[in-house]
Amino acid sequence: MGRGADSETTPGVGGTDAARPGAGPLAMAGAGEDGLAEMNASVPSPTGALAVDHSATDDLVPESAGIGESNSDLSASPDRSAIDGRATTITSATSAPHRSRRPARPTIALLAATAVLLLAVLVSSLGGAAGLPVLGTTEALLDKLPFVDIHTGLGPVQLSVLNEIRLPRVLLATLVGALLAQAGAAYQGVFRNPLSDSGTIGASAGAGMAATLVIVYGGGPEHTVAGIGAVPLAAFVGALGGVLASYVLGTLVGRGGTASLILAGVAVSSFVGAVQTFVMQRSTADVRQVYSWLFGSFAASDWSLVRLALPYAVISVLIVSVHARHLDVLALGDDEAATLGLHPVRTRLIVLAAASLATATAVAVSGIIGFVGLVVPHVVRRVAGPGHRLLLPMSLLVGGAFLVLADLLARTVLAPAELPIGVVTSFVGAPFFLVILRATRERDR
Amino acid sequence: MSAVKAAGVRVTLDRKSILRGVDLAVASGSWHAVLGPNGAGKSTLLKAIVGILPYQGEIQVGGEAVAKLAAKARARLIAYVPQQPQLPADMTVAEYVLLGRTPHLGYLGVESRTDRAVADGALERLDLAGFAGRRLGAMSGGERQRVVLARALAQQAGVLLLDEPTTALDLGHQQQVLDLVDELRSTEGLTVISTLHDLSLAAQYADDLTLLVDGAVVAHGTAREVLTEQRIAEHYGARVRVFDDGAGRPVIHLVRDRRPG
Repeated sequence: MGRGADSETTPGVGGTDAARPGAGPLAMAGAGEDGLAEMNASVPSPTGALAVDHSATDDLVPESAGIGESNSDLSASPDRSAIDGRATTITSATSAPHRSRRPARPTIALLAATAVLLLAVLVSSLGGAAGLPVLGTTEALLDKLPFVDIHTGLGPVQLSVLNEIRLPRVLLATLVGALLAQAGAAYQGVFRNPLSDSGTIGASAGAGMAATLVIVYGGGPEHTVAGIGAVPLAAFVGALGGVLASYVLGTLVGRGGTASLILAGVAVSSFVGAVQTFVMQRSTADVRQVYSWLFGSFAASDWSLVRLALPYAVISVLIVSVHARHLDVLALGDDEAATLGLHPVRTRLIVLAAASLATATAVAVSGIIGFVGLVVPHVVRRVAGPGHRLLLPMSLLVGGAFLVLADLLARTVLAPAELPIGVVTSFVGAPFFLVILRATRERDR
Repeated sequence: MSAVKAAGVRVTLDRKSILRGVDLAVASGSWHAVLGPNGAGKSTLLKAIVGILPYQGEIQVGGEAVAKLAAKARARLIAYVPQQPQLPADMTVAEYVLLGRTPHLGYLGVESRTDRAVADGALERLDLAGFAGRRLGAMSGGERQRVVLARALAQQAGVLLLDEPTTALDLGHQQQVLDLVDELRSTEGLTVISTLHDLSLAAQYADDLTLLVDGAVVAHGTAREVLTEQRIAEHYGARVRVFDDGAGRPVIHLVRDRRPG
C-alpha cells in the first residue's frame, strides 16, 4: 500500500506546533518522571510510526527532550492542548494502567446506601407521638430478622405501636420511595431525558384523574372493591391507563421515538388534568379530600397495603434491574443501540411498562408524591456515575431512605397534625438538591 | 471472510425514493469509499447495510444475507460509526468502549473476563489506555473519534462502516484517523466501507470507490477511473482540476472562477 509513508510526508502541521513553545510540556514540568519515562518508552520507532501513536505521548514529552527533533514529525493539532491541563492525571493513570475507575467503589457505595437506609428506618421507627426507647426498638427490629432472636425490653403497648403503626408505615414509605426513585431513573434512561419522571408519560396525571373520579363519584375512600380500597385501585388503573394512552398515541403520531412519546405524554397529562379540574370544580365538597390524596400521605398505612404493594414492587424492580445494561446501551441513541444488537423500541416498551407498574403501585398506596423520582436519580448519578447497574440499585436504596425521612418530618413537624408528604419532599428536597448540585459541580465541566 | 455485497438495494423513506437499486461489491479486507454530492444517499446506504433502515434488495456479508440475521448476529458482523456518535458526557471511556461488547453478551449483559480483555485491548490499540477513567465529555474531537473507533473495534466485527469519519476534525486529525483506520484494516483484516466528503482523501485511502448520485450508482472502480474532471463537474457542479500525486492516485483541486466581475 505504501501508506505508512503518508504520515511522514506531512511535517507542516507538526512543524508549526513545535515552533509554538509547547504549551503541553510546560504544564507537565512538575509531573512524575516515572510516568514520563514509561510514556516515552512506548513511542514506536519513527519510521513505522502512525500519527496517532503519538497522540497521547507528544504532550508528555518533557521540554528538555528537544521538541524540535522529537515532535517535528508528528501531526499535532490545537486540541491537544486541551489535554495539557490534565496531564498529571494522565500520567498517574498510566502508571496504573486502564483498570476501569475505582473497582471497589460500587460495593462501597451500595453498602453505604444500605447503611443509610437502615439508619433511616430505625430513626423513623423511633420518632412519633408515642415515644419509643432507642435500644428496645433497635432490639425489636433486629428480632424481626431471620435467625435473630433477641428479647426486647419493650412493653406490649410499645410493641404494638411499633408493629402495627410504625413499621407498616415506615416500610411502605421505604417501598414507595424506592419504587419512585428507581422508576424515575428508568424513565430518564428510557427517554434519555434528565427531566423525565412518572409525570412525563401520563402516569401521575392518569392516577390523579382516576382517583378524583372515584372520590367524587365513586363513594370515596371507604368504598372497596374485592377487599381493596377503591381509590388505590383507581389510581393503579389510572396510572397504567395514562401511560398506555401516551404510548399508543406517541407511537401513532411518531415512530416510537422518545420525543414523540414525551410529547404524547404531555398531551395526555394536560387533557386528563383538564378533566380532573373540571370534576373538582363541579364538586367543591370533595376538593379537600382530593387534595389530601393528590399530595400524598402514608397516614393510612397498614400491613394490608404493604402486602398489596409488595408483589408488584418485586416484579417491577426485577424487570427494571435486569435491563440495567440495556439502558446503558440506549444512552447511545436508538440507531447506535440497534447497531449493537439491541432492539431499542422493544427495550423501551419493556422498561416503560415495568417502571409504570412501579409508579402505579406507589401511587396506589400513597397518592402522588412528586420530586423523589426526579431528584433521587440525579443525586445518585452525581456520586455513582451514569452506569445503570449501579444507578438503579442505588436509587432504590437512596429513594427509600429519602422518603422514610421525609415521612418522619411529615408526621412530626406539626404533630399531631400531618403535613402532606409531597409538600415535605419538595420543601426539603429542592434545597437539598441544589446543595448536592453545588457540591458536585466539578462533574459538569 | 467479510466481503460485502449489495444487489439492487432500494430504500424509500416517507414515500421518497432515497436509494434506487444500488449495487456494491467490496472485497474482504479492502477499503471502499462511497462518494457523492449532498443528498445522494451515502449515509442511507450505510444505514441499510448495518440494518437500521428497512430496504428492498439483497445485502450479504461473507455470503450471508444480513436481513435474515437476528440483530445480535448482525452486530457481530458489522460495526458502524455514525457521522455524529452519541457520547454520554458522564460515561467514562472504559465504560463506553465496553458497550461495544454488547452483541457478544447474553440478555442479562454480564461481561466476562474475555469481554473486558477485548475492550482493554481496543483501548490499547487506539492509544487510549491512559484515558480509560476519563469522562467522554472531557475528550477533544480527535480523541472522541478514536474512542468511537475503539468501541467499534471492541465489537470484533469483520466489517467497519464509517459515516464521514473526518467531519469536524482538523487537517492533522483527519489524517490521523484515516491512517489509523487503514492500519486497523490491514492488521485486523477489517473490511472498511466509508462515506467521505473529501474526494482527495477518498482517493488517497480507498482501494475502490463508488460514486452515488441521486440514489443510484453512476461510477465505480479505482480512484483514477472514478474521479475524472468531467464526472466531478457533471455530478458535483464543481470546477476542478485533477492531478496525479505521483503515486498513481488522483488529487482534486477546486478552481476559482476567473471571469472578471
